[in-house]
Amino acid sequence: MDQNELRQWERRCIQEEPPACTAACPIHVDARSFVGHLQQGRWDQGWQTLARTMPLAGLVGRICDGSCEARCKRGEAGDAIRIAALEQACVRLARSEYRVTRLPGRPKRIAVLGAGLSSLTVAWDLVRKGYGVTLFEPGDVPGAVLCEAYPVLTPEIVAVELASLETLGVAFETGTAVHGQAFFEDRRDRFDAFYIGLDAVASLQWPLDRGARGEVWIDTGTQATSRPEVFAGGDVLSTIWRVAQGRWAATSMDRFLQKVSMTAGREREGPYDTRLYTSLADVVAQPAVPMADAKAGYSESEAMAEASRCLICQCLECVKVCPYLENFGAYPRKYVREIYNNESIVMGSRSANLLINSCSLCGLCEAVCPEDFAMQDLCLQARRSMVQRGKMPPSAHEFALEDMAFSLGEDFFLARHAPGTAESSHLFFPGCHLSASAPGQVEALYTHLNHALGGRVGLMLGCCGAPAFWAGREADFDRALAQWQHHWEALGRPKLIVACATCHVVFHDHRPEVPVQSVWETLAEVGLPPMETDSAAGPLAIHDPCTTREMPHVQAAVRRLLDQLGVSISELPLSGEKTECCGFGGLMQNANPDLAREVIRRRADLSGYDYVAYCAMCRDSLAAVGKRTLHLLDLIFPDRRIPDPAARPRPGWSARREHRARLKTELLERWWGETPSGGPDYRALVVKMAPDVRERLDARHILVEDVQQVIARAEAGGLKFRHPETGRVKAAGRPRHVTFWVEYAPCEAGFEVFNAYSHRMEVQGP
Amino acid sequence: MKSDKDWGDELAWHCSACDRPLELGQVTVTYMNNSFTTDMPRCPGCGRVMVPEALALGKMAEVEKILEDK
Amino acid sequence: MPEEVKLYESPALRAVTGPTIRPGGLALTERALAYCTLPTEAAVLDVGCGNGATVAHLRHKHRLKAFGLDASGRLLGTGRNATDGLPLIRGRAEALPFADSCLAAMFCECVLSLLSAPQVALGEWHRVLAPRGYLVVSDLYARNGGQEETPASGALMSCLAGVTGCRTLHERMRTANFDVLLFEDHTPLLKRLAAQLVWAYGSMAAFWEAVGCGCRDGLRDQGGRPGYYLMVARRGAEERG
Repeated sequence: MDQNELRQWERRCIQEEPPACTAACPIHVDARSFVGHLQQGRWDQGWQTLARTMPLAGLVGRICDGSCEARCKRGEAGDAIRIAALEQACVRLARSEYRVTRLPGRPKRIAVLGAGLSSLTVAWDLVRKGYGVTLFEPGDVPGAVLCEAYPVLTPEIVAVELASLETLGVAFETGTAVHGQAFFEDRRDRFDAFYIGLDAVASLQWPLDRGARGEVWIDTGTQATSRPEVFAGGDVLSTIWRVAQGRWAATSMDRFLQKVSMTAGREREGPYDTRLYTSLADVVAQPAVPMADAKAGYSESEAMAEASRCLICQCLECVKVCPYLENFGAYPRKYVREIYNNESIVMGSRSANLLINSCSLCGLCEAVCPEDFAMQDLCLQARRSMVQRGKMPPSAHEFALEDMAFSLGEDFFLARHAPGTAESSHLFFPGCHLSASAPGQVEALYTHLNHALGGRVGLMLGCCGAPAFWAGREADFDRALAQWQHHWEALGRPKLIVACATCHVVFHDHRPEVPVQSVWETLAEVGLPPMETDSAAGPLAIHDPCTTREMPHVQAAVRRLLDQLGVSISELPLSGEKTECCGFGGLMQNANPDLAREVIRRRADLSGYDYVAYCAMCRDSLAAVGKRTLHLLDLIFPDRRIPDPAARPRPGWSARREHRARLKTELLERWWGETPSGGPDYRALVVKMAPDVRERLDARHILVEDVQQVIARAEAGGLKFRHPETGRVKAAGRPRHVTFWVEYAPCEAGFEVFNAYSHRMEVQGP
Repeated sequence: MKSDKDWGDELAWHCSACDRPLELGQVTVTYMNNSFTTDMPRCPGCGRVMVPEALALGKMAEVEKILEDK
Repeated sequence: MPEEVKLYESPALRAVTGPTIRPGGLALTERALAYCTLPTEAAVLDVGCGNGATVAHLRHKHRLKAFGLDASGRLLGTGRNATDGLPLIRGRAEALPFADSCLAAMFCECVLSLLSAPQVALGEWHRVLAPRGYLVVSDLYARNGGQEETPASGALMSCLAGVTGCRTLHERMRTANFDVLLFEDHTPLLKRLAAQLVWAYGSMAAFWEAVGCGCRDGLRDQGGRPGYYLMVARRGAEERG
């Protein structure tokens, strides 16, 4: 990712865009933080928030006309927040002291004319920047014009505020006739720039260009006049706009005096439309909190109550629906930066590795984001980059990749025309996890398809390569698909029928020339097998696998089938295009098992109904956290030997291997009359273990075949240790990258296993 | 660091080949170009080492993670 | 007020690192020496010399006129006892008792991030180095580019508090009128030390307990894992203005 891409990605996430109030305010006061403080009664902090942006907040806060309120999002659900009234309350209730610093003095001198709001703003801004500011008041009392214009400002209040200016170093000169041309001529040599506050100075006779109606010509935004050193503004009705024009003039004057660009970086001055999106779902319309005494303004409790109505606008739409995005404590814009840093620095940081590898790549964020931010694209790209640079920690995906290698290997891979035929119109590709979870259903489905489609449906057992794709291992993915393609071509390029939505997406995205259909659509077309109309199970809550997100036709076909089966369906809150991943996607279960568990628990808790899924992995993931879940095939091919299929537990990793291997050998024998070559001898070893031992091994990712291999080698004369009292044996073996230790004892049938553990370090020595 | 009595369980095991009880000995383990030594049960006769479960699941696992994290 | 726990003074750490209390021991010192080629008998200073193991090495193996300086009386005590006749001085890195431009090289290993006023120290080091003298710095740094500055925090006074990023380090050198000749990442040495600490104490948590600061994983508190670098810089040829 280069700097350009980084910026594009960052820009897409709008979470850091200002809320509507700030964007609408001409001077961009952080009204959201301000109101947030008032919600908690933090008057002083609210005051400081105002004072950070507002000049002379003690003055302006009392008379701001709140043009932000017109754009307040709350106004779309009841009344807008009474921000102006809250400002007034805050000025009253806070200990309003200015924490102002003045930059070191600059040699330039500024003349500010008039003591209206815009002039005071100019004076405030420029004195703080270190300029020498003299304020010329035509009358005798600076501030009198303010008291006249705004009755709520008493002379005492104004005097205090003006004293702050004086403390900062503004010099006041009163009783000067500023409007005459003589004033300008006299002072041109002594001052480097001038500001005319048109809200305070009348009938100007200065030699400046004028408009049609005799008003001084001003360039809106820069507030420049026809003379480069003279600026003007304030000739508007709104208080906050007077302040804004003063502010813009001060910025222009500062740039003028420093001889830098007058316009650069000023695109967001003044009100604009923010890109921030804030959802109003679940927001109940509320009227504004009334004031008991309109003259006195909001009381403390009233102000807090009104402030509490504020939505504290955020986006966070994706974080709201994704435990992964929530888990890392930030939001996509921040994550982009972390991932970029992970790449561009020679050695990445651990937290970014986990961030990159924990995403399920399901695309829900993109589906809910107003700007289509696709975290999955970002993470996949980062994984590929890590793999290319050799920075991918091996343990992140190793187990899943070894499982894929098993599916692609001799023990499971199979490609045949239908028994007794020499060509195939269709090819059934059930996928590795349906075969691993419910091999009997694979058989039943294959049989039915052949009946329904004229008997020339071939069968391929294997893997589409999705684990390698998710792991960012493009070479391994290409190899897996190439293997698939080689056999598909050898079978005569038949129409593909897939039972797994992930396989479906892989073929759709990477082999568009292959005609592919979901088995659910096929069944919806050709019809279901005949069955006794059972008492319909249900209502069932339907869980769509995340890989059907962009395949509404598949989701619809499944619902038609369930309807045919007489099942009433309840839709989960996030369903269809917005479905959630079960935690297996993107290899989340491998890279971040704790997060995956959290993800599936949340999914399971969404509804009290039993679920129905049509992906074997989703079904098993739900079952693993104790959620009663049916697979659609449990309803289409009910198995009398399993009275309560919704309670069927998730087969562990060892069982998944066994199911696949046995499916191949049994089908080859029964259907194609082939006896497969025997597997390695150690697979014949009989091992028994108590259920808790079996669970422990499954959790530690230690397969039964690993245990068999260790025991076989040990019994054939390898390294063994014996416990003289218990008679147990302990032995070790290192078939690949991991050393397995197994504690066992011979028993009647074979061997009983009591424990097993593993490590990657290698022992040096004899 | 473990005291001798904590090793009681592990030292009850015998090396099958030599039929001798294991004794604590200095063992070197390596991973990703780093080596570490510690005491582990080993056969005083043939030198075969038995890696205890607590070690494998404890500091071995923690160190493997540190070194792997790139 | 509880006494500050200084990680580098802790016997728990020394038990694993040995006398050179830093990742890699003398490995990076050797690398820097190979890069710099100093004449024999050149006057060099080891800032943060601790017990003087590096000073002894520089004197005996490389025949350099090496001095050591450290603020920690505790560590100096062990050095003076261990190897007699080593010129080890107690003092602060920000105020060196040396004349202007008198040193050919300075070694500041695992020290810079400990100083409360690193820029002041760099200025001082510039003063005492001869024109074109070498400054060898090795230390922790923040690899996460986004977090350039980490505020010093808590009772744990250690290398972890003042860890900054690569950009800040280079800026500081520039401001102090040093030219950076070499900047290498040597994070594997840090990982090795971390692994050795875990190995020796059973877990990272157990190590921190042995040091005496409870169960705090100081590394993780910095919001990302730190790396380790070696930098060789040269003092500009001009006289200090």
